[in-house]
Amino acid sequence: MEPGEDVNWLAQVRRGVAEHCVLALLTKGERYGFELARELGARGQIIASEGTLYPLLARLRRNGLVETSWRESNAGPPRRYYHLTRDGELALASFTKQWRVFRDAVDEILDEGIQE
Amino acid sequence: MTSRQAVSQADKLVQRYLAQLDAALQGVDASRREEILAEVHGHIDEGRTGLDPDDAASVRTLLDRVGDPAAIAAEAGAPPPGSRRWDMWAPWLIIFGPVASGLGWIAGVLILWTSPTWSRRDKLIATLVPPVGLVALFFGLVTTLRAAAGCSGPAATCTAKGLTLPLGVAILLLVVGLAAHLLPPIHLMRTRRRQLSALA
Repeated sequence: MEPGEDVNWLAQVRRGVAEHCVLALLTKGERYGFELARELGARGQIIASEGTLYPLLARLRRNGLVETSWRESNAGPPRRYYHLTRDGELALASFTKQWRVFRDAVDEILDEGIQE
Repeated sequence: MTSRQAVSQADKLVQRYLAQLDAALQGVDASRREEILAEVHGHIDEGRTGLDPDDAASVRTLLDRVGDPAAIAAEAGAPPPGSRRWDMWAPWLIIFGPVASGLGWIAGVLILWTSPTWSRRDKLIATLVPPVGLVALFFGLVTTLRAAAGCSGPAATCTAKGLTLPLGVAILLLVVGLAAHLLPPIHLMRTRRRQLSALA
């Protein structure tokens, strides 16, 4: 049962965190889906698989945190580019602040556990 | 020759994957579903531009990275497959429910509307058309029997009272009623079977 539970908590943590990681990647400039998927995929753990990025992007778009525009590509069909909105920037700033506090608290508790 | 076959095999893998994703996304609202499908499709095309198009193995690796359609559907908020477990009964209850007992039909319609398997249009048709068909079937049967008993001629030769129709019209009513009663539930069965085979 233990491995199953591990997967489960990770899925739950990912739900809110992965969205904000996407917002953070977009601060470096607009990206299309494939680029985002490869960047997130390369770091491991942030998204479960590359395909799960797309429902997440659809959700961000619906919540007004990102906007999209179509651009021609020199290879193949036009690409849908995602860029941050003002609401997206605000959401990211607030997440970043809270995440650091959260992360430090978790690290502190885990470290205390190890020392005993 | 072999390379042509390999191309179509790689294409088939992609088509099958997209069909699986489409089936898994049942129950997600249509515009979101289309958006996700189009984006995943674009992702796969993008991934294939750098690959040898003949190589089915590399397409398989690419699809592995895109991941399990069920995981993508879960992320999109698709209802879990458990909400489909009564599906197989809905068409049968819609066909035989009204004959056996009205409750059977109500159960069939409840299953139909709570399942993500069918579109809203299919649900509406399967709810409204079969009962009308059944009524037409009933009248068709009664009037066919009357006409066969000689009630379609001049009124004087007919001893039976009530609605009379020419035999041809009565039989037509019977056939149309039967079709209207059976075809929508049969369509439900076929839609469900198609989805199950896509998910397998």
